[in-house]
Amino acid sequence: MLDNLWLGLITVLAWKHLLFMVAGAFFGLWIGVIPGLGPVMAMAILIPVTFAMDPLSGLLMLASIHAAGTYGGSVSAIMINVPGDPGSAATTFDGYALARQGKVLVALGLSVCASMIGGMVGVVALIAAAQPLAEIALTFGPPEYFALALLGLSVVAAATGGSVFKGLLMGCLGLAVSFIGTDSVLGFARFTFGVIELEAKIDFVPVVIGLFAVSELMMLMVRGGTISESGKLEGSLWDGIRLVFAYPLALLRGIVTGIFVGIVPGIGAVTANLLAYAIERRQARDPSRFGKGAPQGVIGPESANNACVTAAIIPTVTLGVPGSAGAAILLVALTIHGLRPGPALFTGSTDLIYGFFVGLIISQLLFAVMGVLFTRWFAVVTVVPSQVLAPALLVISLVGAYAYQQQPADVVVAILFGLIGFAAQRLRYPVIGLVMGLVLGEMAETAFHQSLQISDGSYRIFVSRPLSASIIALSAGLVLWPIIFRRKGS
Amino acid sequence: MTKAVRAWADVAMASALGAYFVYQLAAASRYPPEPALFPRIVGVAGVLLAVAVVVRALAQTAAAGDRLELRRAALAVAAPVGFGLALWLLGYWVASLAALIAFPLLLGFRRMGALVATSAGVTLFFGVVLAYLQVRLPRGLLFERLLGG
Repeated sequence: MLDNLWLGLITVLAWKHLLFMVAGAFFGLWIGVIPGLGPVMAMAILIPVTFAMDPLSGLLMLASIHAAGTYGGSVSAIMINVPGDPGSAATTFDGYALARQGKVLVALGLSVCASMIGGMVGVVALIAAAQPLAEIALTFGPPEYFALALLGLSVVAAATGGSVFKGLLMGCLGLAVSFIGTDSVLGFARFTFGVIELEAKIDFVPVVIGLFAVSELMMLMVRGGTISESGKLEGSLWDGIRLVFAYPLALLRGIVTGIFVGIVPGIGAVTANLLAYAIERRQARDPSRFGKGAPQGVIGPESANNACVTAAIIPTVTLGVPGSAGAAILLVALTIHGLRPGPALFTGSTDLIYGFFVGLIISQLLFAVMGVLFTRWFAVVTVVPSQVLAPALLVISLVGAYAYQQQPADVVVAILFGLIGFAAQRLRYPVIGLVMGLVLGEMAETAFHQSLQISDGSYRIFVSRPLSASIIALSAGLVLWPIIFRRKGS
Repeated sequence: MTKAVRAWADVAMASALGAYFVYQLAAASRYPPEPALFPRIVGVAGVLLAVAVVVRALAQTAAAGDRLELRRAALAVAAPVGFGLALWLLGYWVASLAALIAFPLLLGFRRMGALVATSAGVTLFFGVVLAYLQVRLPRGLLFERLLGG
């Protein structure tokens, strides 16, 4: 193993590979910051460019875009409450709260350090345990996937604070939104109100832009002033970086959550980010600090999404099953260059695969260095008057929603969910539940039907398998615990 | 917002969500069994949860929130809707430039020189970036009609 890593290091240190990684990290960071244009879009745009490159350069450039773009999404989530990429949705809760306190540099320090460590540990997991972890993921059948979706919704509903009923209601609304369009079982168009565009389903990018960007900008217009309520910048980037090491358990929990979610194909960084936030809130001695700038509320989600992004490469290279949309593009790049995922990749193309692994570690360092270099520029946004900032960001967000698929209907969706998010924020409905329901809806429904097909229509399948039964019991416990606990307390 | 207004707003929001779930149940009754099953389960859960939230909102009033300034709130709601309509009718360039000048003026920003320069800069920068990323910017219904006929 060490010999292979040494070989990989020598391979990757060639100037051309480093140059493409720097270019990828730079491009990914700035694209990641723009709402709607996430790292997946940037990778998709540049994939034709990699056809003419040698396989390792192409893969490293795409991987650098993926890592830097995921971090870039967190930068705008912290600065302006607009996740550049849906995988940073939960970072808005405490990251933006810190920005409003004038501590945007501290929040960016927390984010860059937690993201870098999360990404690096994800790569180490990839190197050390790629094959055994992928085999564990393979033991998951449809009932376990359904139970996981249920767990995701329950954790979010129970841990976001406020009313559990409101959390679950928003989760149901998210599921209801995921039903709109052609269903995944029979291809039947449902709940489309006769609008043809809705048959293609509602994508979660315009929904996230609406819920987090448009609604928050509406709040900013109402509130006035600047994002930083004091109009000044307090604290430094290094304060944030130091703070990460004051919460090692939050970092560890985020990384484990990210790796676990990453190795299970099809779940992705959005779930890892939201789940890590919910876990941190649940673990905290004083949950009331969450949403008001708790450092763990940034450390957990940020380490989780970057660990997830790298861990998602595990099933991609070992089984040919992509763990996320970004990993799917890497799989396409591998295939285009004539490389077949599986055990043969580790024995037949040793220099390439271990060069890729070492390059992934370097790409984490690259985006962290760039993040540190550009932080001051990013931070200035939080002291710009809202009268200018809010309209400018509203235009950018809605044009970003359009640019994602170049569909005018996405602008309508973003505006509609902006209005829903505005009302939800005013009335303390947790919008995170809606996003989680939308993200997990299709997976939950497909797994639900597949499970019933396996069991000839018997619902017992969900409780007769030990793994799915345990996960469902955990979900029920998470929902019932706060209701019973609060009732006893009152 | 006063406590009473907030409680009634809570009731209205939960009722609206409950009404959507009732629609979901009614619409699902016309679908084949498989596509209808999961929406039915979620629909029933949604109606029950909406009822629970309505009952709680009626029983107890939530903590009072900060006062909304009516003019700003109206503008906040109108801004995304107005920009969406302008984008559809006038296209990216005119709609973005107009919105970036009009909204700050309505919010009370009065430095015209800085405003025009910022608006033109932001519109131009994103127009160029999106064009470089091969995003076909909306030209607007009016301009398409004019150019088409």
